[in-house]
Amino acid sequence: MILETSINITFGIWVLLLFSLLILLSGIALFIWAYFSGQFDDINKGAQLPFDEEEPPGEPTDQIFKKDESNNEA
Amino acid sequence: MSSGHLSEIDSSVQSIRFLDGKARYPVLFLIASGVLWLLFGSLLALLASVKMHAPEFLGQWSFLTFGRVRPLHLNTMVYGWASMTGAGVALWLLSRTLRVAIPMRPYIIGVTVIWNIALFVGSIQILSGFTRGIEWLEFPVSTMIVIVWCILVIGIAAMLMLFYRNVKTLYVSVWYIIAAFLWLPLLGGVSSLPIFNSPTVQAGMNWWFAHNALGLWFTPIGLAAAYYFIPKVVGRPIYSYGLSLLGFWGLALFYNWNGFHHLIGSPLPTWFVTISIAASVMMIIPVVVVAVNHHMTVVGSFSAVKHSPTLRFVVFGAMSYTFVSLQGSLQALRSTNEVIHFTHFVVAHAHIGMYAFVTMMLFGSCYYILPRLTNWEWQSHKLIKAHFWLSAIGIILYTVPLQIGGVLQGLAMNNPDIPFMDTMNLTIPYLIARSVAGVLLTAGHLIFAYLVVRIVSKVGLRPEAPTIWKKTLKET
Repeated sequence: MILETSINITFGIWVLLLFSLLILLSGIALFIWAYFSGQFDDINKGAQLPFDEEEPPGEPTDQIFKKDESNNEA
Repeated sequence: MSSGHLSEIDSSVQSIRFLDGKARYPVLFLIASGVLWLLFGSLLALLASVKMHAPEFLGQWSFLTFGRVRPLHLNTMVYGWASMTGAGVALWLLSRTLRVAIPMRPYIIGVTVIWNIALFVGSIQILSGFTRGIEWLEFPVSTMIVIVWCILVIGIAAMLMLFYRNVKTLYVSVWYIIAAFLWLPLLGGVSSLPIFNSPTVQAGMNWWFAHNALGLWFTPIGLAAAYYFIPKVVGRPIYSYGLSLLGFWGLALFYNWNGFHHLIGSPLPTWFVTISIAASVMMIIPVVVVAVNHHMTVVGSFSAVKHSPTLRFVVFGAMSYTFVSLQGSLQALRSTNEVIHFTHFVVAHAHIGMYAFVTMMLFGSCYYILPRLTNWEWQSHKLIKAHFWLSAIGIILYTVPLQIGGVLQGLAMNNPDIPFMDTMNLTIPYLIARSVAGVLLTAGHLIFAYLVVRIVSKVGLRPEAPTIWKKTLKET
């Protein structure tokens, strides 16, 4: 029965290496896709992505403790 | 600093207020569920910690013995708190950075219900003694598969967002999150295969899974949050976008080989363990890259960190990531491992990873996300600050004494002239310090849970002048 199958050490570590390799290959596949789909064409463009017209760069957000200091209350 | 790309986003349809409105219920439900399991896990942690120096404490009931309480603490924190909140934070980050509303919202809420039920069933199973007996995988396989399936469904939603995105370029956070949603179902599926039953192979699978669950699931989500919130709160783009991508692919190449360094000195072939040691040292590259990038982005903006609850937690988490990873690389060396293996040092190390890094990142993310999802303010700034200091001081008080005690314990165990009981007694002061730290951490979690309940149920007065969003964007 398959539930009782156990494998020896040599086979076991090759199974684990195989799946490790699969994870590594998924990383390489993502890289190849990124390269050929033009993700790296303008490498600094991505840095602007968290910002937009509503919340442009240069303006800190989430400064909610600032009020505490100006009028000294929680 | 060009802003030409902004034109590619149609912000009339994809405004962040619109996206946050769509994200509201699935993300709130995931985060609220996570906080519930955080409280349950904290209670179990306190019990387990006290039992380490007072073994008789509540020992008359079998379901409250150390061998059940401690595994359940680990599993509820990992698959309850960190995975659920992490999945919610990841979905929200994808929605923001891909400029697309979260799809499959009823399905996400449905699988979160199932996920909660699975955790509840698994908790009863472990407390009543049904366990796989493998660290990080104590839930029976049938329960574990349900949890992995829930994450897989949420991962499908993540992939749909990637395909229907409204921006061409993927932000670095997206790379991390997409990879995490690809890798965790693979890890969970492989670890559930019924072929790893012989003892040594099982240990190999155990640490392959456990270290990768941290490295390929929680770490990417934590770093994705840092890469979004640090630039967002400081108001300055990331120092070097190229470096951030180098960090991501460094992690993808090196991290998944790390786990077997837990098995130095085991019957596994030496060459096999040596691969892991080499990969652990290679991790210095992506870690230093990330550290330099985050530091250079934050440097000079100390007041922005001080005034933001999010950045306080996120910067603490980012610093912990650098520290814990470099420490991990050193721990993987055979000479170091000889002393610290089988000591409390490793437990403290794991908590720097899962708490000082991952959990602090998630707290910081919640402090940013929840006001934007609920259109409400946090109840009290004083309580947020109290939570931060309780968590920060608590985790330092937890890890520093325990690591000192762990080294002394390891040196004593390596000395054949010292009786084992003396080694045990040597660790007791450090274990008591851990229990004290556990009380501080739990108090912080109770404050956090109270704040979350207040903001989600919108009780109390809404402050007159919202400071979180600009007045022009105030209407919902």
